[in-house]
Amino acid sequence: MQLEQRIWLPREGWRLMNSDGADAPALVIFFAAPGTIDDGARYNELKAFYPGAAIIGCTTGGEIADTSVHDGSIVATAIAFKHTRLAFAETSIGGTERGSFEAGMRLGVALPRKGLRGVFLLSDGTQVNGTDLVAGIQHVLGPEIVITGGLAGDGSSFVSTRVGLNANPETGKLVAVGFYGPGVRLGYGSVGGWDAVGPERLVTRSSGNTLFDLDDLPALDLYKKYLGPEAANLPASALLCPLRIHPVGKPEASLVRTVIGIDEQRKAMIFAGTIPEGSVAQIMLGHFDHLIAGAGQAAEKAAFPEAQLAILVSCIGRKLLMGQQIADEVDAVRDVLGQSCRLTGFYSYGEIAPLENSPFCDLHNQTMTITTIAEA
Amino acid sequence: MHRLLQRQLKKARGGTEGGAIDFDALLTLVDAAYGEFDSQRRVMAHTHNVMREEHGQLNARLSRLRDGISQMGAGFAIWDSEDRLVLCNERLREILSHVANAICPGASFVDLIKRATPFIASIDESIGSDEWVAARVARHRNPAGPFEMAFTDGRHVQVWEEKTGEGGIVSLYFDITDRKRAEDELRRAKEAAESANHSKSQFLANMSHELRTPLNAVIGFSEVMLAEKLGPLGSQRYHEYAQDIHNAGSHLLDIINDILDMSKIEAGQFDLDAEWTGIANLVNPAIRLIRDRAREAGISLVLAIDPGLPPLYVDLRSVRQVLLNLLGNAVKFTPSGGTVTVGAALMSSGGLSLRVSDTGLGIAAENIPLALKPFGQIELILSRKHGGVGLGLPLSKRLIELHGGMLDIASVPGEGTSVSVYFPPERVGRAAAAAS
Repeated sequence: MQLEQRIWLPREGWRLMNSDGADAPALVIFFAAPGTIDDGARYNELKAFYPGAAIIGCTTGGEIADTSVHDGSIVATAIAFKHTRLAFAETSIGGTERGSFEAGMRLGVALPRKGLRGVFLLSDGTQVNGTDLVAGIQHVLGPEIVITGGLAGDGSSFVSTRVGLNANPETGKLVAVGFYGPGVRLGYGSVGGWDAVGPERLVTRSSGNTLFDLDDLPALDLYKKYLGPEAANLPASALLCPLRIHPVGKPEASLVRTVIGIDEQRKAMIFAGTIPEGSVAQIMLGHFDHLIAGAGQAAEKAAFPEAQLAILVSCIGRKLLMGQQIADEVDAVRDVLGQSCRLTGFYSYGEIAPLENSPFCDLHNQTMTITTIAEA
Repeated sequence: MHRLLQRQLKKARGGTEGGAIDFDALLTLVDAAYGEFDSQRRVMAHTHNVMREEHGQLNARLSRLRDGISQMGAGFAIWDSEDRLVLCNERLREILSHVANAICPGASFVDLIKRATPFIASIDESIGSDEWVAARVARHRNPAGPFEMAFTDGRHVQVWEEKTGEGGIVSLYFDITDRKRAEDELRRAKEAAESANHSKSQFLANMSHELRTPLNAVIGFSEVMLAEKLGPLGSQRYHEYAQDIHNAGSHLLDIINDILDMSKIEAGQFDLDAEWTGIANLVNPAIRLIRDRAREAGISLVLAIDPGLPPLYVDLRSVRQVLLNLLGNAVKFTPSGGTVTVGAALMSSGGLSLRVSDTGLGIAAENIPLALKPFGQIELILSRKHGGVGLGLPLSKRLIELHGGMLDIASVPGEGTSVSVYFPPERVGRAAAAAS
């Protein structure tokens, strides 16, 4: 496996970051700041660099190039495989209620099952229910196929995201790439590093992804208390306090859910995933050192000595919280994976990886999720 | 140089290591970083306050719970998933007083149970104490509802156990010694009462039987004497005495028969021998027996019974006895010149009522319940003048109730008494059957 990485910066255009000298890469993965690819010019330039390659990419909430975190850049990684074959699937999100699940199923069906070693998935970040999407694709492929990836980002605007396969990215798209053959090795790790603080509270009233009451008290009031002066910046500031939930009857399992909106009139919070009634919930706070350590732990889980490329999908919430210090988490990943492993990645609206201690993949929030790739 | 400043410089150089520094860009980055640190410090300070507040609230909640647990009337214990004691109250030590010293957080459940074994009285002799301990521990791990234990010092304890969310066990120990004692006393008292009542009925039945045998000899021989079967008595006085002996004996036999019936009913040994019979067949024999006495007392007997009434499914002997008793009372308590009426009527419910009414002394309303009680005082008072032991009305009432019916007394003192006997619909046949 040979790699070549390029970065596009507004002031200087494309620059080659590194190259193994591969002549015909099969796959190019790029992550682009919103607004940089609207006119299709950058996509055409990439296509010109790598004429024979399949190109997948999406918009972001920040781009990771080596250990730098950029806003307003495009990072592209071209991969030439020796033996590994690839298959691609592409679909659009339907308008129906089960649109996300069905889109996931369509992607699963389009990927031949024989010899499939793993799937990397990029999805629209604002129109798709990530939980349903992952359930849909896994419904077809089965739990033994590891699916990783993320939901595209739109800076900190949460308005419109783009995803593309062999075309300039568009809104409402989902693409998946399948890796085939005995030579390819994939690893993954997904860790948040958030601290659950304060008492555990029972979800006493909720509906879908809307949370009304914790311990019979309005959830919004509790969040306002925790946010204090930051409460004026709701819902954006609620990124500071994700919610950890233990699903009903599964006290050992936990999921992190990000606040995506509030309902002042009903004193409710709206989350990026369902909050079932009867779950046990606990507010989380991000201690910078712990978040950075979490990224390092994700790298440890994903690491194997031969790993050549690590695709980092980290949550936009972490970046909004840590500001300029966000690059420290990428440094932490580098420290674990070493200099021989190239890094790329983006800040996303949702990370996709298997649940800890479970074969089942799910949508995560607020994590650093790493996919490592190598070819023997 | 701090890594953040290194990164800021790199950015100010347009992403390269060696380019020219854009100082405006650098200052903007550094300024933004200071702003971020300020806001971070604000957030941290606020969060710290919130946490302190929540910590206080949690402590308050915890001490409320501790307080509640320590004030409980039951012994309370929580065990972790390794079966070690996490928390308990003083009451637990009081209840498990034999092993109180060993009850402390961290103590193993198995160890406590082993220590307690010598003080537990309810261990089945057939199994060894090791087996008992094993069974007790198994039950503790997989609770299956409350159970009771008895201690060698006579105390009884009820144990409730439930699993906790984290794989441990919560136990409640109730001292039920007082309740057990009360239950025992109650049971003993009930058994004693039942036994005494049974003895009484048995005694009455036996005694009545023993009395009847010699009495039959008295009555029988007085009849022989009255009939002068073995030759003339000689003196008229002897004849009168023999008649007195016969009357007194017959009266005594009636009383004894009543007592025997009553005690049989109370002992649940009185069986009805029911058959279909017309009303006339019930009423006429009683009328015949009472007619002479009524005439002698100057009382007119009126029979007001519709011959078209349906038949009854009753114990002939019992109902005749009831009617004879009611008629006897009516004649006994009605002064000369009065009237005793026997009536019968079909009721809208489908039942049938027989009624004996008189124009006699009457009974005050407050005395009616007494009259219906065996050996009721009212009749005892009246008996001084009229004789009898007061079993007639209560026995009649019980006999009718055995038929599923009711006996009802309506009376106005000085005007008369009316006693009604109701038979339920299931004892009443169709009217057409009366003809046959």
